[in-house]
Amino acid sequence: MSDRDTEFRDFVTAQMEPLRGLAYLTCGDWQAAEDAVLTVLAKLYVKWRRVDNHASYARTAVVRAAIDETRRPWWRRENSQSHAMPDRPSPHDSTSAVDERLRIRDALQQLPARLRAVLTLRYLEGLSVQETAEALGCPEGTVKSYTSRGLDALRQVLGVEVFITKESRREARAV
Amino acid sequence: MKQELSDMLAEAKSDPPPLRYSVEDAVTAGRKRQRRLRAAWTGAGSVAAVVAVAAAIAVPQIVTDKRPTRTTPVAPAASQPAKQEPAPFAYPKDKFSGNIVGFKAGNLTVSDTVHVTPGYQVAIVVAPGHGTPVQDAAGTIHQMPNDVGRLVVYRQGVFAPAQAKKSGERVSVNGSTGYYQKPMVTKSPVKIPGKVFQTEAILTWEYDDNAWAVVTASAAAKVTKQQLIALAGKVTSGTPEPVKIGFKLGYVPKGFQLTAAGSSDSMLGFPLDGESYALLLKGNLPFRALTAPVQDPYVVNDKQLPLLQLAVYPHWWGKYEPKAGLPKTAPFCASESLCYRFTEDGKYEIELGGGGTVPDSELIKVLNSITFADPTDAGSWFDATDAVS
Repeated sequence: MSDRDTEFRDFVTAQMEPLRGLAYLTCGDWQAAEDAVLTVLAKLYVKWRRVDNHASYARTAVVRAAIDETRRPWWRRENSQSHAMPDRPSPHDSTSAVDERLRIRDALQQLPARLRAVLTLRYLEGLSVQETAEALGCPEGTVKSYTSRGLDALRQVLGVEVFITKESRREARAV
Repeated sequence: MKQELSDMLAEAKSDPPPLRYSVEDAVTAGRKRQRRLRAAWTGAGSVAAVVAVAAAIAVPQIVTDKRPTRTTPVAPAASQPAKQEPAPFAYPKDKFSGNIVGFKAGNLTVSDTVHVTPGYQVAIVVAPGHGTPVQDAAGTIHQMPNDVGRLVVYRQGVFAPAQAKKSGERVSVNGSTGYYQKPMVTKSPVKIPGKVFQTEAILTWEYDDNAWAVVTASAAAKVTKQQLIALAGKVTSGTPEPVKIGFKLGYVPKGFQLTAAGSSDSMLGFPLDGESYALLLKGNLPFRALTAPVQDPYVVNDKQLPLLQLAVYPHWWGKYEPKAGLPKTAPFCASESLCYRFTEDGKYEIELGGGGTVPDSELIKVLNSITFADPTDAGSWFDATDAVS
């Protein structure tokens, strides 16, 4: 077995789950997220020795691939039958113990994929505005705009004050 | 009520279903992509028909290169006159001719030119031993050569040496200025205790005024700086020969032009017996300020150029069988933008990828127009420029 294969296996072992989570938050479908991750890992395998930062490359490519997944024509049709984020629960649902996880997933599902990607990259992955812009191939102004819109949308959907802490706070001031 | 955003995001992706893919699935997909030039549109659900075998197996020999681009046989080092310095490399004027002459340097062997673009030509560096063996769908084991690096000779003015100058140690290659970069050892980007990553050793040298060549060797090959310098010193040019491929197109969609061709695809692996490749792009890909060979995606001004990638290879390397109920040689599309046609004897196939930029109907039209040369007889192959015009 080559060094490349060993390194790649180690990388995949450590990163497949986090990358799947990142893709899932972006596209909202576990299967599509896995497909996106496998596609990106296959590309990374080929470029292994040409890529300096494998984790950064994979993260960027996975988010882009996940966004692409949501653009496919069959996305809307198949999404309803997959492990996609669930439909928004009715506000009149008498089951007051609606699972918190599902509620958050539902809230995120209300946002466009690129907007979810911006929030995920910045506040889960900890990327700066500039890094997020580079990852998504868009201007920094767009990232700032999406961040602001995303936070507002989540506040409205969830009906709570959404706040950010730690390192996120510094970046948030730049919005 | 308040909620912290990063906590919310972490919560949203918690409790996932079991993974459908394993680490081995990722390795298999990567290997398949590497060898078959699968572009992004092939989808993640592809299952490789060819599975690499991890176990070491005693084997035959390195695959013999029967490419017509070979100008002279690879000569053993012992046959080289002692201390003879090769003549300066003379790059061909023609856009699709190659003239790297295969040679041996110590225990390393450099092939003849296997891949040509308007901006550079490439040869493969092979070390003793074998690469990872490959098992085909029938269970047959195929030994692979131990290709450990690439020799890329750039046309004058194409290569940008700034990075090499900045990062490399200044050395001399037959009196020419060169820069050597040892394999970098970096910390793992993931938390694996004690794990490090190594890059390739790279030697860049100016073989003529503003004309550069680069030879690389994987860290695993443990090629020393002196070995690379000695190898670089032996790089010589032969008589330029038009690059040839084992097929000819009777129909080329409007606007597409030849951009690369050879016996190795743009992944620059050691060629399989009978393998040949051509890349056609709709638009001009500028070959300037390069620091490495170009690969998919081929982007100009932030737009990917429509492409046609054609590759002939042995069927044992392939994934698909001829469609049941159709003539054996009838072209078919296995998935969107990825179509195939077999030779009469079924021993070889041609793969045509359109990158999602060309309708399948056009791909079928191109495949229907193809004339195969005899993949096993390099003398029957076509000049690439004639074959795709």
